[in-house]
Amino acid sequence: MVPADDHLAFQGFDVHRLAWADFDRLARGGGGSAVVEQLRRAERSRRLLLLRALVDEVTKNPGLSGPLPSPESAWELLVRVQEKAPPVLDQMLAHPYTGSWVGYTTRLLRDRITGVCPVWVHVGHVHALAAAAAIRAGLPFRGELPVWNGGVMLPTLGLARLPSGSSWSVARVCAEPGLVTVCGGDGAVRVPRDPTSDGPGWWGIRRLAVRAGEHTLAVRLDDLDPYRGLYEPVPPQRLDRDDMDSWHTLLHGAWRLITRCLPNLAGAMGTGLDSLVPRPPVPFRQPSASTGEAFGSAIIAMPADAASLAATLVHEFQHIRLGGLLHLAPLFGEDSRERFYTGWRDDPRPIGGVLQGVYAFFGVTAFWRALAAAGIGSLYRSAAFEFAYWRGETWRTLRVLRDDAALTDAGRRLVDGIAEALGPWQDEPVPSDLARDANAIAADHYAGWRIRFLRPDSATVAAIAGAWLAARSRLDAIPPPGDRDPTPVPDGPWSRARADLVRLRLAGPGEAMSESWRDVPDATAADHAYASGRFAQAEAEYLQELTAGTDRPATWIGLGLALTAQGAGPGGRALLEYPELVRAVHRRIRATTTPARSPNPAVLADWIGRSVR
Amino acid sequence: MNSFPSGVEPGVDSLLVDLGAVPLAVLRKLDGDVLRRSLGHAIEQTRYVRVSTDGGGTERID
Repeated sequence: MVPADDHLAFQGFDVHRLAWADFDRLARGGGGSAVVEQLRRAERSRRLLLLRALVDEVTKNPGLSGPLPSPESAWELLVRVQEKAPPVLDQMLAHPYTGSWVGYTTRLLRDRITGVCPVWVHVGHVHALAAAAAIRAGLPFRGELPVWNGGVMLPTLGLARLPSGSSWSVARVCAEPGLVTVCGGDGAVRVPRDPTSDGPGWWGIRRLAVRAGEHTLAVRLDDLDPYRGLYEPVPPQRLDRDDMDSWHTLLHGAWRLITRCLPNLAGAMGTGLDSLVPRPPVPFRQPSASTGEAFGSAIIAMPADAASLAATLVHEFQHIRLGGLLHLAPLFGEDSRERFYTGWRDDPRPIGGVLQGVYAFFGVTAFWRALAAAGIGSLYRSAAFEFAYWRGETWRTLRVLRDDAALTDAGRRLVDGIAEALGPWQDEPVPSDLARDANAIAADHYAGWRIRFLRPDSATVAAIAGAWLAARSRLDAIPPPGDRDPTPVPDGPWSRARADLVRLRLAGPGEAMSESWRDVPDATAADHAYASGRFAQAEAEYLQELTAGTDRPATWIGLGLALTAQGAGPGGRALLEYPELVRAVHRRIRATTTPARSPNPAVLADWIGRSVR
Repeated sequence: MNSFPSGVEPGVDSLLVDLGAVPLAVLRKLDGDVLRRSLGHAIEQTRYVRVSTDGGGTERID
């Protein structure tokens, strides 16, 4: 061993740092590509450290290699790659799934557990990384690689598909000038000269490059790499040519919007986003995901339109940047208690998730704000609505978060930086009808969270129910219930139907919703009436549902929204501000009386609402 | 986290050693307290995988 401090190169290095000036730029949503480059350099070191630790561990325990050669041989091949073509090694280390693979395999080794495949298959992926690097560098070599269900992955290049006799086996790879072959079982696959193209037995990883003005975004559309998922390795899910074309079109449209609306962020994204993992579309949803270990990758369902994709890319890129920052500095202490309300989740969240969400939706808010300001006619109303909604929801959560004791000094500085940008946006004008819609949908979500996750004090519920049954005209004053200490188990399901219907109305002509509202998951006729502005009808229909014995949270909240839309009053306020109390009292009275004597929910809510102050 | 040598712009100071100038051939043989501490830190961080998913119904970080 070479003592670190005796080595000239080692003497010169330091730890990775991020100056406060750059930290603050990042906090405010800026920083551009220069800060992303710093995060990338830290990721490179982090991955190298984990790779070194992994090779050390397996060298000490050769049985972990299974039928494959020692990882030392892969390391030696990577040394040759670095000597011949240093940028190739950097590309492989920057590959997002190098990070997720080495993190996943480190956990397997540390915890002495088996993953989706036998440990040797995961450990042996280091040979696949080295082989792909050597092919990229044009080095001649021979090696052995793990096979999973007939697939031999060469990260960043593609997947050779061999006849599959067993779930896991070993393939041979041979690279000579102008010829790379992968052999195993009874099959052999020749890797095409252009590995991004398909060939017999070969699926290439396809690339998409889109350009707008001075900004280019070039990404792999990776449907093959086993480590492209979130938690466990996943098999390939090949995208067909039509879907590829759709992705290209949508990405081009999204990139034009991002570069127009957030040019500084576009510069950062062009540097920091390498790979998209395509997933099938989900009607009325835009699922997406990323992991802090796969810096540079986002998993995204096929979007409905370019604006949705743009917002999703911004969202995930914020997570990616924050994931990189978290590898440099702790922003919060260990606290896994799920105790926060957020406007983007249906369940209570821990502080780490809340901080991630605030930063991600801060970016989303910035995008919709800029898109609304861009004055693109067909997108304006949807963009202004989303801006109004997300600025309020993100700000509401940020104000709770910034005083939380679990934040570190750096975490509080990050939140303060976000607040500097986000705060002034709260007062920017938005058309009143859109602001009203945004406020109503926000109230809908918050009330839906309360009614499912907060449990009112049972003595208070009993006292109120007793007073009702005693036919008292007024209650003693009740203080407004808070929203701390949510329970982890929801009392009933949630429906996002009203939010979906409002967005459907904003996106198209009025008749579009009347034709397609039944396609919205969980939507009822009452929801349709509410979203269409027929509030009295909605009130009647929600009441009918409740009187018939329905106890759905969304029905209680719908009643509160319909009452409030017809004029602020104590009943609507009670149902939107402390619905858990109204429902609990209603349940208690119903349990002690006949159905015919059950209170009218609207009347009960009004009676309770007059006493809570 | 916030202690900086003189002349260095203040900021966050991580536990990750910068291996940008260290060739792989050298890294394989290096040892020392600084490296071991950084290795331990990187391994420890893998306990906390931060995953963000939105709208997919799986576990999410945000």
